[in-house]
Amino acid sequence: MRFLRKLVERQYPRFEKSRVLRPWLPLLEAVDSFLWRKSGNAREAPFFRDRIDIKRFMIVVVVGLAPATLAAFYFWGWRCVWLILISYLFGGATEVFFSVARKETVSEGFLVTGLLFPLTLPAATPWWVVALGVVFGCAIGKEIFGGTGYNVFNPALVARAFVYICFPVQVAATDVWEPNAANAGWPGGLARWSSATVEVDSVSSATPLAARKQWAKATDEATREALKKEIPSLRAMFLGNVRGSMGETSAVLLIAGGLFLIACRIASWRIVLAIVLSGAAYSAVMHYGAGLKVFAPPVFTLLSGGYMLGAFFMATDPVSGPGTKQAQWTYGILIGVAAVTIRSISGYAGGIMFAILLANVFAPLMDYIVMQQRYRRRKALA
Amino acid sequence: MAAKVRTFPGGYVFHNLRGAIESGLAVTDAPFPARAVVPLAQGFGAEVPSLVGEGDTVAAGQIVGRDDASVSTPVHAPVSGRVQRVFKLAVAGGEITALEIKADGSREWQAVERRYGDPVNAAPDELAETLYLAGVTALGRKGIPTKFSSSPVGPEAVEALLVGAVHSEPYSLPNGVVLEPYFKEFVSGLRVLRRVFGGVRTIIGLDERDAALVPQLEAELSGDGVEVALVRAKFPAEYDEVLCETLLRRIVPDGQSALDVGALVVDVPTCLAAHEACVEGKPLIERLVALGGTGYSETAVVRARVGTPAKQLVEGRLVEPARVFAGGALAGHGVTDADEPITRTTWGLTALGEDTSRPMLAWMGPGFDYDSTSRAFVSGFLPPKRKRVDTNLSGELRPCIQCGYCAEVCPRDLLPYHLDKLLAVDAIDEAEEMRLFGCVECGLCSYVCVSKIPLMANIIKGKKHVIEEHEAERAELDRKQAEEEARRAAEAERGAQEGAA
Repeated sequence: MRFLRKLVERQYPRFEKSRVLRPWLPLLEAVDSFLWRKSGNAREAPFFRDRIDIKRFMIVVVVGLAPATLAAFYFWGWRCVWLILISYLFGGATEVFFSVARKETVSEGFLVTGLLFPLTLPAATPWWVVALGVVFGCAIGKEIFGGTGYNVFNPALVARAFVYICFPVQVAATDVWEPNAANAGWPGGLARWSSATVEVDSVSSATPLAARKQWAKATDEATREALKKEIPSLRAMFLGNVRGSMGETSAVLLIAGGLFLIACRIASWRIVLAIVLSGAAYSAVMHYGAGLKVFAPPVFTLLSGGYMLGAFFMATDPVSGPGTKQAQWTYGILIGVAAVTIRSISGYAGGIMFAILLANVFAPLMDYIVMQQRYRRRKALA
Repeated sequence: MAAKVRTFPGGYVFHNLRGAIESGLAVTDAPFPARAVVPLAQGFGAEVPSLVGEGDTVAAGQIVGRDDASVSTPVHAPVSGRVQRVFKLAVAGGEITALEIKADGSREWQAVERRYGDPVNAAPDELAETLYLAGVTALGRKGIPTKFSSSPVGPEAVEALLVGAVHSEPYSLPNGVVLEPYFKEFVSGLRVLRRVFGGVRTIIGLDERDAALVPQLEAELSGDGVEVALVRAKFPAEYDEVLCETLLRRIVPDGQSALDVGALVVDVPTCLAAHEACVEGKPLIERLVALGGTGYSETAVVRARVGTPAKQLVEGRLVEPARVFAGGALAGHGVTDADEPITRTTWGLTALGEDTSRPMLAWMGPGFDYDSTSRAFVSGFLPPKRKRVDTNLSGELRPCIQCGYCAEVCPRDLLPYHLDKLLAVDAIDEAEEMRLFGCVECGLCSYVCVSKIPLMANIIKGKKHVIEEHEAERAELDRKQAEEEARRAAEAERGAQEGAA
């Protein structure tokens, strides 16, 4: 290790002297500080600090995503690893490009974005779609706003929305993973490169959400019966034994990872609880109360599509979400209601992505209103 | 027994830090200084003019600086000897006139003038004068009000006396060191202060960890009408704005002190000093100093003469490398000047180890002994273990990600990250609207910052900048007004001349 350390240290003068290498100093610094903690000491009070830093913050989110990611390997095969690597590679390169251009240090934000984004895609997605998406997400979703900390939207969702609209055929989540097929049971997809195949325009390969939507729209009884069989059991949806995007299918593992984030005080429990409660309550009212069958029952709503991934990992992104408690509740409720509405009555099968992007726009306004009220009250007290 | 523990929203509990000062640690005498440095402003109050010059002989306890006209408190010679030089001392970015006294080695001190008999039955004005002459009135954030203008407000403004016997700041003096062994003196000092302020409502905010002291305090003081309330040891509980809110449920308006809403907040050492001045006749030339932190090979509490150079006091006690901070490691300042002394208000010299090592992949490590407001380390899920403390930032400066920790810990309900962003783009009107002056400078926002942004330092700079801007605006307005008047006067004169012609 000492050898490696010396090797990196020796690169600094080399980078500083060379005209070609000098612009790449941020990259060297990123590698250096990635491997060894920087020795910066407090020059301003307070003279000792909390041990957490951005790297730790981000790695905890990655750890929270780990169960769902590992499940993706099991369900869909090793191709997932390849797609995640592609995402990290192109996302990281985009970050480094902007850092070099700005002469700034490389930020750690893409540690999370680079993993979250491929998890929202089906395992059969072509690698170049992943690459294009992550570059778009990092560049347009984040860097043009000023980089980490300044983005209005969640970059992973910007990337996802981009490929969702530009490459609908490639990312239509119609991959098949049949529990009774050759890869069923241990070791599942771990023995295969990819257990996913793309069957375009095939009714028999719809995701639970799409199947339910078609069922609700179908008019003749025979199609309804056929489609009803396509809707998986709640148990299968809870465990993840269903069709869908790589990281979205297993609700139980997403909940476990999400609760870990909340326990670590990295994610806001208020946002998560607000999304879960409002989504469940809204679908209950519409499904049971109003009797509208286009609205799914509450448990189905929570377990299907990207609802859990969105609630625990996307909406809780602190940069694009609100910071004050009251605004966090409002934000969560807006997401829950918007997601269920879009799912049920728009042309799209999934709605959580658009719901979060929509709420991202309003997050700063919500914070602003809360602060105004809070300070007005305080002024009245004083 | 006071069952309910009172507290305030926000704040942060520092748990089990290494190098803490243990309750019950015996106080030792610091070596007698060979020279004393005496700044002419110590504690609250303006700098006072020196009454002595170079070469003069002074006695310990003699008043060497005094100005009854300004808002100030007299300054004493802490040791007997000869004034070596009068010079400008650099302290925490500012400059202050100071005397250097070469000690003759005598430990005797000159008693403060007193004009009363029994302190408990003495006239309040006479006691107040003694406190003033002994230098005690310089303690407290805005001084202790007397009719000798030792504070911006008069003594009649004091409606409540709050005693902060809670020690939430890391490495401060615990009650087991400063209150328990000096119980009688504390009670006597508190009675003196109550007498001075005509027996106003008095509440002792006692550290929850010292609940065992409640019966003793109540037995001794409930006859006097003193209330005892348990206070959670959550930083910054002892700050006067915060203690006022905790004990009186009275919110101190932004930019003001507790004294402005009628609450005088004193700490335990102030009560001890009041006792020493009014009962023993001893001026405030000696005080207890906490030497805590991971930078010491052994923590200690010493009784030291005011004016002892800080570097001399910590000499031989430090582990290398370490840095020493006056007034705590959270909101204090680094001791750099070899002349910088301990003053009447120096409760401690905190020393922290300076860790410059570069461990590999530290951000992925488990962190068994890390202190963090998040639970991102294993230590967050384990039973309490002594936490590692040093000056390392353990991270690099990054842009704010609005994680919200600073807003969560702010005792004043501010959004520090938002203020910082506003100040960064010089939006000072918006920053003021967002309660820039509500900050009490406790330092917690910087402490918890994930991106290692010096939030408190930026906010303090911002406050200074805003005050300067306002002053410049006022000066500009005055100048314009003066110009206008001059123009009018000239016109009038011209008119008069024309009339005369």
